[in-house]
Formats: sequence, structure tokens, C-alpha cells
Amino acid sequence: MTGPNPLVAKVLAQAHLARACHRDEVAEELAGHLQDLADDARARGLGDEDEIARITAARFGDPDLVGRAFSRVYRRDRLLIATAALAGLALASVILMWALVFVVQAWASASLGFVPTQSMSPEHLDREALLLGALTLGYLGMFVCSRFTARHQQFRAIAVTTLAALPFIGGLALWRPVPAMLVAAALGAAAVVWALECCRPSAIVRLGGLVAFFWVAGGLAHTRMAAGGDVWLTVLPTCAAIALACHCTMALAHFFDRRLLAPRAV
Amino acid sequence: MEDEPFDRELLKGSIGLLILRLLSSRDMYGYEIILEASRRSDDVFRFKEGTLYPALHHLERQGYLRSYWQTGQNNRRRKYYGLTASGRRLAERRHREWLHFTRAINAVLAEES
Repeated sequence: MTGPNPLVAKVLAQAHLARACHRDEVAEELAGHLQDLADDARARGLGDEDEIARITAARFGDPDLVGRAFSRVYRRDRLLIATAALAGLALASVILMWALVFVVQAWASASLGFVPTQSMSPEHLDREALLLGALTLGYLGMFVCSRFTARHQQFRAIAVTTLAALPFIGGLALWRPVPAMLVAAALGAAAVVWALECCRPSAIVRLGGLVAFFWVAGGLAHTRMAAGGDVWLTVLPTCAAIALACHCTMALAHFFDRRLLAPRAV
Repeated sequence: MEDEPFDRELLKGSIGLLILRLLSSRDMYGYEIILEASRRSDDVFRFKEGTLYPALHHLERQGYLRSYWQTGQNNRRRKYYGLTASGRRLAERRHREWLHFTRAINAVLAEES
């Protein structure tokens, strides 16, 4: 047999087997079965290869149905891969966000003449880490909700993610009100990031929109805490870094979806 | 099969039992299972053969079957299936259930006739 049998190829196309070893095994097993069928037909005196192929296909059954049956059998594998991939995506995204923002903050405070270790106190770092982590997990949660629930109703994802986060925020508020407020604010910002993503503008417009949003939000938050004309200029690098990190992590999420989840029908 | 002597759904629901029962005697590969089912049933059980494999993989993933590759005639590698201990227990249980069920059905049908 030269090349993959078309019947086997059709089965595999519907089976969406997540692991290459399963794909190879199913392909070899089915190809062997079809060869046995063809050998039997030849042994019965059939010589016309087209006729043999027709009989083989008829006895094998609908390859799409067989493929879908395999897909159901191996569904748990796909869910495990999806869970692991999404956990990895979330972790990588949060780390990317922290790294980018804290490096830019350290650079900005150093260039303004501050000593980064003094200007970025542990309390400041804790709060920013919480804020940025909640922001990242918030819009990734919305991405996942829209990806797995209602593909064409992305704004429903905001409601679902918010509802899912409410018990956590409520519980945190009873214990530590300030971090709970930060998480709630981050979730609000995540909704804006997600809304901008849903509008599907060009990459540069999206990035510009994110920078503008975070600059306004960051500027307003800082002017309330410390009056001063240069506050807006001071927060700009950090806000640009947050916007860039949002942009990159969302691109990473789409890449994961296209390359890892979608081909496996997850 | 166009000239099937019974509703295909009846066979679909029993394919697990048939596989477990056939493999109770010895380890077999997929095509061999089909030939054996056909032989034992006097050619009544001729199902669409592709449907056998998802059922085999399902039982294997549930831990009722084990499988291994073996090279046989014509240097062709074949995937053999055999029952695990829990598969053997399931085969016996399903067989008892089936006998119980068919006895009840037969009893009802006999009374009707």
C-alpha cells in the first residue's frame, strides 16, 4: 500500500487523536484490517482492484462515523491536554506580564533617579503582582469562556468570568478588603481588554487602545493618591508595558488555540 | 448490510458483550474477531467492521482489555487483544445478565405465542 489509505485518512481526520502514538497505532491497525479484507477478496478470486476497494469500503462502513466514535473514546485525552495547555498558558502569561511590567518599572524608576529596590517596596510589589495576575487571569478566563461556551457571544464571557470570580472576591474581601478591591478592579480592566479584543481592530489600533486605557486608568489612580503634574508621565512606561503584555499574552492565547487546541477539536 | 435479519441497534448494544465473550477463549486481532463472530453466528453477525475498533479501544481504555503487537504471517504486524482480570469478570457478569434477560424475553414471547 503506498501512502495512507484514504479510508484510514478519513477516520483519522474525524478522530482528532491528541497524541501522535495513538494516531500511528490506529492508522496501522486499520490499515492492517483493510489489507486483510483486500487479501480475502483476492483469495476469493476477485482480481479487479477497483472492485476490491469498493467491497472493502462497503464492509468497513462510514469512515466519518468510525472517526467520530474514536473521537469519543479519546475525549478524555483531549480534555487533559486542553487543561494542561490552558494552565501552562495562564502561568506563562502571568510570568510574562510580571516580568515585562516589573522590568519596565525598575528601568523607569532608575531613569528618574530613584533606587529601584527602595521605590519598589515589597508591599508595592505584592499589590502590583496581585493586580497584574488578576488582570491576566481575568481576560484569559474570558477568552477560555468564549472559546468553550459561546463562540459568537463573546460578551457573555465577561458575565460568566465575573460570576465565577465573585465568590473568590467576596471571600477575599472578608479576609483582606484592599486586595479584594484590587482584584475587582483588575477584573474590570480585564473586561475592557477583552471588549477591545472582541472588536477585532488591527493589532496597532488594539495596542494603542490598550495603552490609552491603562494610561487613563493608571493616571487617574495615581493622581488620586499623589498630586503632581508629572504623575501622568511617570505612569506612562508602566501602563505601556501592561498594554504590551496584554497584547502579547492574548496573541499567545490565540496561538495556543490555533496550534494546539483547534487541530485536536478541543 | 442490506439484508440484515434484525435491527442494527440490537447488535450495536451487544457489541461489547460479543467482544468480551469472543476474547474469553483466546487473544485475537480485530479482523480475527470479526471472522470468529461471523463463523460462530453462521454469518448473521456481519457488522460494519470499522465500528469494531472504537469499541475495542474503549474497552481497552476502561481496563477490560489489554493489547500487544505481534508479527504474524506475511511479516504483518497485528494488534492482539486479550481480556484482563477485570475484563474476564465483566465478561462473566455480562453473560449472566444476557442469559437472564433473554430468558425473561423468551418467557414473555412464549406466553404470547
